[in-house]
Amino acid sequence: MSAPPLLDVKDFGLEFRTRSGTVRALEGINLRIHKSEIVGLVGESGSGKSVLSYALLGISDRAAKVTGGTAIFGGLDLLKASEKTLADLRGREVSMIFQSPRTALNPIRQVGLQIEDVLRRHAAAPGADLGKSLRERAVQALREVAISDPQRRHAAYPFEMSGGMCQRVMIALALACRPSLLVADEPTTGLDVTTQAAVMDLITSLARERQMATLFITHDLALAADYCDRIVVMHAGHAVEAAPARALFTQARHPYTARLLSSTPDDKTRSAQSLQPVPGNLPDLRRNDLPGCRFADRCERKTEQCVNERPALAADAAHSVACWHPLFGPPSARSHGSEVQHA
Amino acid sequence: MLDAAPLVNKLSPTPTPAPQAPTAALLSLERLHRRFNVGGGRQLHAVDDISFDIAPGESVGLVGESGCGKSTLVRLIARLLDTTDGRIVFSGDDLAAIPAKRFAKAKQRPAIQMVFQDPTDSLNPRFTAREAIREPLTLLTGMKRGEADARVDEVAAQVGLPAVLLSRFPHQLSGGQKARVGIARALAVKPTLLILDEPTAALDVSVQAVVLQLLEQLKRDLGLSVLFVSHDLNVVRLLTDRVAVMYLGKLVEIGPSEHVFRSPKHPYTQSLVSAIPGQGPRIKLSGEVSSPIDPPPQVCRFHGRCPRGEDRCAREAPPLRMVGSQLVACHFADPAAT
Repeated sequence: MSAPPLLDVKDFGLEFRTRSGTVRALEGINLRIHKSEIVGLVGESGSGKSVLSYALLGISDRAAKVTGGTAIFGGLDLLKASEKTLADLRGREVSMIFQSPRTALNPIRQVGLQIEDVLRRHAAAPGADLGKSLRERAVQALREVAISDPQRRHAAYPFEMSGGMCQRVMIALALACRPSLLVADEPTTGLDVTTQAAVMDLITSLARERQMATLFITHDLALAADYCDRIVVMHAGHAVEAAPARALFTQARHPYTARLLSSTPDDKTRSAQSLQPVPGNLPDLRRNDLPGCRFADRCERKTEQCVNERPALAADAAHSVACWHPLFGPPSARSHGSEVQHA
Repeated sequence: MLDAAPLVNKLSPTPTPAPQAPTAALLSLERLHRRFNVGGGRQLHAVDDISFDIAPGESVGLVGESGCGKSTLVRLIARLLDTTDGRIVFSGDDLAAIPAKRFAKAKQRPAIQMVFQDPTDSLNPRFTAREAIREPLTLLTGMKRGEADARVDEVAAQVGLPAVLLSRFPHQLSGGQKARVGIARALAVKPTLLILDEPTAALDVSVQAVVLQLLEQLKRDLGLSVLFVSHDLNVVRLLTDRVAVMYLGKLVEIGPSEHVFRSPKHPYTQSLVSAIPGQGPRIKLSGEVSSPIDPPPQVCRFHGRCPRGEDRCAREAPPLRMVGSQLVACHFADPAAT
């Protein structure tokens, strides 16, 4: 991995100004994705996975405020780019697959036309085959995601298709302009295991074929392990552990990752009583006195240091952890300015 | 050791005991059918000739892809929907004879209770937790308010819902707490059959673990019969004694959960089990699900998608037969196969 990363997020922070207080949604996020790499972003709801991906695409809620950091994508800082630059980028260089395809697709427009809309918006995209009509290219996009009879399906409305089929259309839509980075936000939630496997196979095989980098957001650790090269675990707006997929399962270093694994039933679980749920709840991110490690209040290894100092994820190590007392290996390095400033 | 197991099955002169409950069943589905008219004289076969039993205290899982008829079957059993044909024998009475419209007033109504999928969507936002749990008590058992409130306190304690939370509205409760309200509401009227429809699908893994522990403990303490519908096969394996697999309205395999998951016999179950994340190699299915509208009765529903599919499968629909410890609807199911 000596080549520069395709996407390099450093020390990224974001908050929401709301009437009931400021929600510190993301803090000190480091994340790197290389070309052709599939990175899983895993965590419970409320951990900031989707907020992070929306921010990268510049589609955050109006109340969101970037508090710091950079997100360099192909020489451009996504956090500082103008809306016009981002609009040209979205759908062409960076694409997103949303969670529920039925809500994300336009219900009253034929799916083929929706794909044509994207192609028309980015008509000048490099690699656009101008010799072909938009219709031909839309049909081709449907064929590439293994939709049978794409000529006929071009004229279908989302309600005429099954959930798995709609998700294929979403994928066709996202990949129509051959982006170099795909963000897939829970692309298989609500689908059956068999359909889920088919959709994941499709995304990963297209990604490998086109050397596309993929950020795969999910709450399902086992699914991430099956398809990702690396996994980043998030908790309450912090990235707490980043590791090659296999290493995360065999040698989880962060207590939260370990708890997450032991609370998920797998084929060896004999009784629900043997599951070990994560104690407590996510901290309220509006609090002024959030501990340095946001897992501290739920953690049995908590010390004074966890409350006072924020552990950071090393950006370059293969297996890094943001924890002062990890289950394995050395603790996080102390970084300058990591002391918690209480407002 | 591995070779010896199938031999025993072949040599054994007596048929292996049926996976059906040995004692009197609490619920017995007998050749249950539900067809929907879809216009032009055509019919959609949502539930097609399904028979199985649930014994007192037994928990049975129901799995299959969306569109396979799971939800229709559940709605038939909960008597929210009328049957086209067949019997639903519950504690000796045929419930299919009672029209769904009149079932709300039937004496068996409190005995069958359901916990719905999304605890946020299935609770009335303008009812406090106490009101939500109390409603079935006053409506179905005719309890007076004071008596009902005492029962609410009792059942809230049973599901681990702190009494202080009873005065809160759903939006003031966490996902796990709402799930407990949904369960308490179903248990309040002391049902003998509890239907759980994806009870943990909307919950995070750590909350899910707590709810699964609660369900396991309630099942044991109360001796309930449970019908458990879920997409998450690891959860089904954990909470059920037997599992029934549906494909396009048909029951294709049923047997003890451990056996079905460890050694599935029907090619569809095999692909389903292999698709659980975190397992070994997957059996991929090609082709599309065939249409549930007027399916040709002599063709196996899985034909066209089945990795094994042969001519015979298109001429002769396979009946359920004993293979090892499971009932399987496939001509080629092999007791030796793992």
